[in-house]
Amino acid sequence: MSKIIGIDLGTTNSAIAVMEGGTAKIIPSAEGRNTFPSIVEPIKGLVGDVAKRQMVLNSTSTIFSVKRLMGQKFTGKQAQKTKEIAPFEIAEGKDGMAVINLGGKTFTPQEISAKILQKAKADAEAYLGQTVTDAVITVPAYFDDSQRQATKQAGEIAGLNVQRIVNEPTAAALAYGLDKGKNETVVVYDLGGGTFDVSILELGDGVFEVKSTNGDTFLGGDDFDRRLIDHIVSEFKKESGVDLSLDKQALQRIKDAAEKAKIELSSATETEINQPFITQRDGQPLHLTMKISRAKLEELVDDLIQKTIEPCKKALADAKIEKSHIAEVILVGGMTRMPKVQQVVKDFFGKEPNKSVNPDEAVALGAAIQGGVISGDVKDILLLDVTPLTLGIETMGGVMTPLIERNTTVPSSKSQTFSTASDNQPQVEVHILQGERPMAGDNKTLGSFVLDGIPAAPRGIPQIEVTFDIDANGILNVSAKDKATGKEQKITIKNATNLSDAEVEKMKQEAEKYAEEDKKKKELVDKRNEADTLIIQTRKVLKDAGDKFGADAAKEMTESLDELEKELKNESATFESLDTKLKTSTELVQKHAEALYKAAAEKDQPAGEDKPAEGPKADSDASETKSDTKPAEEGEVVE
Amino acid sequence: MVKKTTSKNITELARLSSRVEELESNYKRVLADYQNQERRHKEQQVNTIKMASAALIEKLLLNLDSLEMAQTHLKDRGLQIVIDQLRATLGQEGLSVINSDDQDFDPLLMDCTEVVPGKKDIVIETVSRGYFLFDKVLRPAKVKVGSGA
Repeated sequence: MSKIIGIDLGTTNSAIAVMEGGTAKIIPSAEGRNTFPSIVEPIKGLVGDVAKRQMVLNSTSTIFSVKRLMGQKFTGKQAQKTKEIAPFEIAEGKDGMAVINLGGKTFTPQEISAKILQKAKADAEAYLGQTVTDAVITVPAYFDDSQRQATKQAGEIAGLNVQRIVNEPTAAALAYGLDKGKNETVVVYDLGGGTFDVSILELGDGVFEVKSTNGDTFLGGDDFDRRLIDHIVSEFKKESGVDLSLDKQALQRIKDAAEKAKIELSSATETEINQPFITQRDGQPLHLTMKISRAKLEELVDDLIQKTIEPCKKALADAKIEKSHIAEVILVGGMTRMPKVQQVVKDFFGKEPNKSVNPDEAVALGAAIQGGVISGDVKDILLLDVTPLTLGIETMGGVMTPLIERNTTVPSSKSQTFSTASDNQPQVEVHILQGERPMAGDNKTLGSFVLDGIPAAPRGIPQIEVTFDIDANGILNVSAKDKATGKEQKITIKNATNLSDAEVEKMKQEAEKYAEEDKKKKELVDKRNEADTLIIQTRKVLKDAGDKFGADAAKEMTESLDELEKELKNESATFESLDTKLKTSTELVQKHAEALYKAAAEKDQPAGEDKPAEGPKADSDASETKSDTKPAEEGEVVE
Repeated sequence: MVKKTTSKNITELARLSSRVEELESNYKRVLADYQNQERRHKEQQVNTIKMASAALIEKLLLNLDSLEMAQTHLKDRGLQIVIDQLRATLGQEGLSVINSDDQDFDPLLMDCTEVVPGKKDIVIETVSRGYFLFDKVLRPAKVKVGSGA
């Protein structure tokens, strides 16, 4: 069976997606964009961006928003309202249905929609490198039987077997992954380019039931743009006395700039519109420069956003559902990127809306997932789980060192080499942890074991390879192997991924809540480890080559290290107090090491260019003191 | 007793062989996805290298437009040198101008922003130049097209 593509056949824009490697992916249009305008010039056969570009030239033969006419009677309210604003001719066709008259030919809305679907099919074939024959197409939840039938016909005209017609909110819910067997009520708030829809869905056992739907078929992002354009034009008129709305070219530039500004204001709180040489007055050029704040844009469109609330109220009332019973509010449509829209939705439903899926793509992605379910693509692959929390081990100073990060797809395996924390350490304890907190004690213990029989060696020398291997069923195997002796110990931990959602959520929240505190704790431990390493390394150097420094220097360093050690042993030592002492000691050690190296170099100078054997040794030992701090902190297992 | 075991074995065998078939088909499907992905990844990689600068150049075009508009007004020789320099630099990156003046209107390359008196379907004036980046349309030309009146 060939791939089943998902098509979001939208009023203003359409999008295509397909299941690949177990996830839904957007198929870019031939023009390289993730969505394309639902605009058709049927005589020359132009669709999408290309059709849009010649719209001004051929306004009467370029058809947009044809979705509004699908399955509609000519005398119906919807057809009549569309007729008022459409530059192309809408007439009465067979059985009183609305059709489009164009250059002496009659096109049904199905035929026009079919052109859009044909482009979707062609673009998908180019992307996939194979013929596409099957599709899942989405429609608004309020579409009645004849509108759904018309959509299906459009698919057939385009040469597609329409495997299923899916409700847009249902597709969006699928894309948001809300099909995992929970019984809950969700709201889908969809504010697109030209229409607004709100739907209440009840989910249970893989069945999606639309409890109610409401909206406004003439409210969307285009209205928001228009408000901004009007504002810019009127401000410019106030400033310069020139009415830019009379200048088509200037207006076009403002339109582009306004759309860009609107998008920018979703992430920035202020943006600047710069259009030099926008027009002329008395032979002098005039420039349009204007700062627009997010607050100003919000003020301009406030009533438009508020207009979406009434349909939400009605939808709730129709579904006979209290706001408190809503488990999730999901956002669809590009306009929901606007922070103010998100705020209004949050205030109304009393719930932070879920915006984890790209709102322009959610519906197409959901349609592709539905296609995957039909073709059997989805069933098996969904079993591939991810680790809900990070897995790692405890290292020196009670730090959690992660081996397998959160959200890693399993099966997965990872190894890292650790070493000992003190000289002649005969054994290491491998303490396996799960969680997001940087300190071991704050995470969940999954198990622990001891690897013994490590031959006597200075700290940092033994190499102990720790391997985490988690299989597709969530069974974690942890092994530790001493590379020198080949001695190995292991442990098997079942259900390492098997945590309830509530547990995972709780642990994630705690990690966020204590992030600041944890960071401080970890910094203190890191500093302690750094100090500890400096003391041990320098003492070693002093023991091996102390006489080369001279008695005074050695004494000075020993004293400084003793002081640092005292501070280290002091339970109430702070990050700052340790840091100051550590810095003093480090500088002192560096100073003497440098002097030693210089002296050695001078001594050896007459003997030739070659560097002396002893000099660099002292230098490299001293610099190791510094560079060793990092591996020591991350790479050592606590005894 | 013996018979029963056999029939049980047969059902078990049937179940397992259908399971094998199912897994085999899934395996092939995933493998096919992977190979397609590989192929596309390679294509994309070639494309990415070539088109890496596309987004930046597209933004710079707005500045080039502004400079050209300024030049239309100022007619300054120094400014002209600056513009030529910028054009030459972008040209080295694969940018070339879409020839639109006096051409037949082509929606693949041009975006009609206004219809004005003049020869029908012929570009009367280019409002903002269009550009190719290598063989792809980076930005269509914005043009005024003749109405035939």
